[in-house]
Amino acid sequence: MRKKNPKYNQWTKDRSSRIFLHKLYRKKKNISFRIVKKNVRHSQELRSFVPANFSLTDNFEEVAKYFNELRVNLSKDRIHTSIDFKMENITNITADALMYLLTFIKNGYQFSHLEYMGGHLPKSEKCKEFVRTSGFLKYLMTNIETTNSEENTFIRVGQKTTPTHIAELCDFVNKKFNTPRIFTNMLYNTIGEIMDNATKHAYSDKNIPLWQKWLMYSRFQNNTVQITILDSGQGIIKSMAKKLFERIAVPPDKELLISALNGEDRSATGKKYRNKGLPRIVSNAKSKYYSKLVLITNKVCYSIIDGNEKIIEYNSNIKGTLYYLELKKEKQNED
Amino acid sequence: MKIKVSKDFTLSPGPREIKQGEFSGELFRQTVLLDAYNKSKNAGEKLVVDLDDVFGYFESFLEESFGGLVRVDKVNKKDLLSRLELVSKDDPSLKERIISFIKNA
Repeated sequence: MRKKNPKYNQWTKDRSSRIFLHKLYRKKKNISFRIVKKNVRHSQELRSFVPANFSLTDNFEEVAKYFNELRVNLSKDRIHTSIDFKMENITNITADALMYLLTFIKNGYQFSHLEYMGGHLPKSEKCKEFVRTSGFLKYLMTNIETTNSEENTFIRVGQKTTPTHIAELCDFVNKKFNTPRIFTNMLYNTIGEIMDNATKHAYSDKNIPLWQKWLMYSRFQNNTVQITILDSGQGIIKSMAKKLFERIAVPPDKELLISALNGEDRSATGKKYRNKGLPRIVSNAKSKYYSKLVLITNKVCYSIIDGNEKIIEYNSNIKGTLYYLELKKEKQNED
Repeated sequence: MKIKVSKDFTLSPGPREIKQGEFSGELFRQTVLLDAYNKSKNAGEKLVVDLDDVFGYFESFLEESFGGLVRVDKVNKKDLLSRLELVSKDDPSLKERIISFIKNA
């Protein structure tokens, strides 16, 4: 339309009033966090009810199904231009699900019709406090005052392998446990392998989300350090090298993961001197240095809890790989 | 000839390749290790590598540094194994792992 055209003048007036109405709408709704695109138009809102037990490690099937259904609905749906994540009824929340939600929001612009994503904090005081002190809100636009959480939590986000961040995590653990640097040698090795795999393989597929980062979160509580590391890439199973006959008769995902964890010739690069990282992570966990290791990738969950191994294949799957580690202070003093 | 990783390179060794991140095994091999090996060979001495006092090691860092000497820089495997002396009081298992990387390179 040409600028002298009266219809153009009317359109600019209407646009200004729509932007004003949208801002007023957001203020009235008291939205906690939001991602907003430029040139926001009138939005049709999708209310998305987050599961009450919002945890991938405790409630994988429901939470994974929730994200998958949301992703499918958004890719088909062209009507809703905004999402309101209804988190008010959450009764349990863990860092892994919160991190996954963050990656989902950051990748939200892959749905080109989406212009706005927002939500409210949980009603439960315990969950609300968790979100506020987690440090994740600083990665979103929010008016919420976040408590200074650096004392008992540690959060880092990155794209490349950054050994200095791992060294900072080791210093955090040693400070909480009052242990010397040598104590966290194994932790450094484990986190290094995890971060390295995320950097090299998670986003090597072309059809991968644009927010290509790993997230690392650690929390000290009740004499335990909990560490969660997540990427939203293709997952270990999809990035693995498959043998020729396996491309025809594909074995179950858990068998493929076990073979990679055992150090079989599964490197995505196809080079024999590679794939030392995953077996090293497992041998560190089996040494009982960690009281708990949980690895969830695609639809497989592998865990070692107090030396006991378990592997489960779920019906739902997630995009990416999640590691959860626990170190207990009493355990280290016993040793 | 003696080198100490924590003093001559970094307290926080990194990933395998330079493009993957900082303080990589490839960088260590190119800037410190290969040079030290050549000097020790010319002088007819042992090459002592002190691995202590760092935060830890990535498996890929060790493989790229030591295995890479054989694989990439074409160092003679037997000569390297006879000349190399590893010091690792913090984690004695490192010696075994590095020897295995050199043998399998």
